[in-house]
Amino acid sequence: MILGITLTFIVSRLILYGLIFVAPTGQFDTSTELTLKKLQALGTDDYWNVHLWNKLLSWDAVFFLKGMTSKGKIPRFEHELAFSTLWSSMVKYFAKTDDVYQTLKVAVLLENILFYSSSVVLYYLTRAIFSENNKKQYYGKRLAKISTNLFIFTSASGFLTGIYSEPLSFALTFVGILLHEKSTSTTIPNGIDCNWSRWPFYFLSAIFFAVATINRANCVLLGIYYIVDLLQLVSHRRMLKALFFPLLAGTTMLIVCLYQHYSLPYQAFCPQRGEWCTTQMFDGLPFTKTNFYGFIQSRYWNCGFLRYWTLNNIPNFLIAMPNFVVMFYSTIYFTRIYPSFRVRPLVFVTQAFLIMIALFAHVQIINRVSSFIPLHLWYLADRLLRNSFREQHPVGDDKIVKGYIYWLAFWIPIQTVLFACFLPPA
Amino acid sequence: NTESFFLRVPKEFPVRSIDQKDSQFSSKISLKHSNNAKITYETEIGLHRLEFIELQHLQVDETYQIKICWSALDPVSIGEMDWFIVPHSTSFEGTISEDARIFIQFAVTNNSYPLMEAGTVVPINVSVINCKLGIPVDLYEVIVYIAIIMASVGFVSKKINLCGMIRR
Repeated sequence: MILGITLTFIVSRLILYGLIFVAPTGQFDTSTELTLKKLQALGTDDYWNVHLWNKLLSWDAVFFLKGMTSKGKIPRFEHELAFSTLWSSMVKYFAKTDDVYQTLKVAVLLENILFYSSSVVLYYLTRAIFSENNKKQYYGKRLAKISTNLFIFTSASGFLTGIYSEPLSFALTFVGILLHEKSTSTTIPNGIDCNWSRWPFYFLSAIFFAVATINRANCVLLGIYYIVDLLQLVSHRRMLKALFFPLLAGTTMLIVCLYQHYSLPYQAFCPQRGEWCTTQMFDGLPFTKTNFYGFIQSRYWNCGFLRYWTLNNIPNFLIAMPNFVVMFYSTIYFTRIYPSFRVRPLVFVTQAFLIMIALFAHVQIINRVSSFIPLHLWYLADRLLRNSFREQHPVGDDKIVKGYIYWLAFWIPIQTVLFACFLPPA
Repeated sequence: NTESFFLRVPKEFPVRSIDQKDSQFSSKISLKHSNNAKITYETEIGLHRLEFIELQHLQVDETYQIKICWSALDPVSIGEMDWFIVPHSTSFEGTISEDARIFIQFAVTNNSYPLMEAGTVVPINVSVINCKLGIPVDLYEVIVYIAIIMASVGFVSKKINLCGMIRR
């Protein structure tokens, strides 16, 4: 099975890097040459740099590359904190060089290793969730295989050829969910129990989620896992377990988030920064009305409640639509049509994520940042496995699934080329 | 980062003969024998002034895209983008020409915390691209490439059952 995943992964990557290689060298945004000059890169006009490596430096990649090649640990400008310093430090650690292209190559290699590892983890995660009893094992295996294939062909594929921080987040997320699954068991009729013997797994899941959140702020939604568990255990009066499992794990995750999004930037920029610093809620404590990530998103990228809801952004909403529809349907599917208690926290995570993206963010980024949530992959895979899907003219959900897969077939290469040519959408 | 706008050279704009001597204006982009050109313009942070670039050898009744690109490593904003005509024999920024001239303008402002130090030089790529059928000519290559890819995917998806392939 791993061989199959490996082959699919390699073939998909070769196709995408092939598309980038053949793509025109003249980029729409001509700033890559300025970036490379500023970073004092050598050999920018070499054949492979012109035809491949330079094309991977579009959009946010510039900030990541700066972080990976800079000497300091904290970025010079506040908005650069939006781009994972964890991911940049990780690449810096492995690259051990000041050379821009060497660093870029190490980053791309790590990106692919993390993406591939995540695919393997997703396979086992899917099996762990959907093969609870022996009868369903065959189904679980099939579902895992299809989900993994769909994940390899994620709608973020184009961006994942470069040096974005997403693969680190979804690797950490999938491992975190797997650890959570291994440390809990479902009870009849609809409950959850945590096993004392597996407490380390449970606590470790919080560490993984917390690190994923440090890397990408949207992973903070994974904290919903602990809220759901807490409510379950409290409702069944398992207070000691509620205290030592979800409460402790959730608090750990919360502390890490507070440090990352309040304390760290406060120490770095306040009080001389003004603006954000002046919204402090308690004297002596670095807690402000909005977190720092939210502040810089609003200040530099105009993110905020309904700010993206303008007529000129209709194309971006259309670009985001397929993932919106499929993710939304997946939440309905696993709550109303085939309710599954094991994926219930993930349903809430998905719902919260959709609300956040629709109301506060640049909606088209759903195609990239949704990759840490596997719920819609399971929905697609489950529909694909059903007999009804084999019929000539699919209806209902099957029609949506088929439409989504055909959309992916067109979207992935187009996104890859647009990314290589430094064209929107970002 | 990119900001862009379009300009259309008026029909009545006096055609300048190709062998006429260049204007004395220091920053200029010439489209002589070309339909697109790019220069790297260096601006200093903190001067809060408008930057002007003269565009030469544009064709009358043609539309051009003016594209201003700068590296995200330089946290600046580009604003006040516009274009205008300076009539013949009219002084502009200490220069004068017997021909009518077309200029573009833009302002570069600091947009970061902490602010970049005054005097920091920010390189900016300014491109002028002729538009045909409403599309800048430098995008034709990409459009054709994407069209080929889409046609190929369409062809393959007709021949292969994609859903069946994923299911297997």
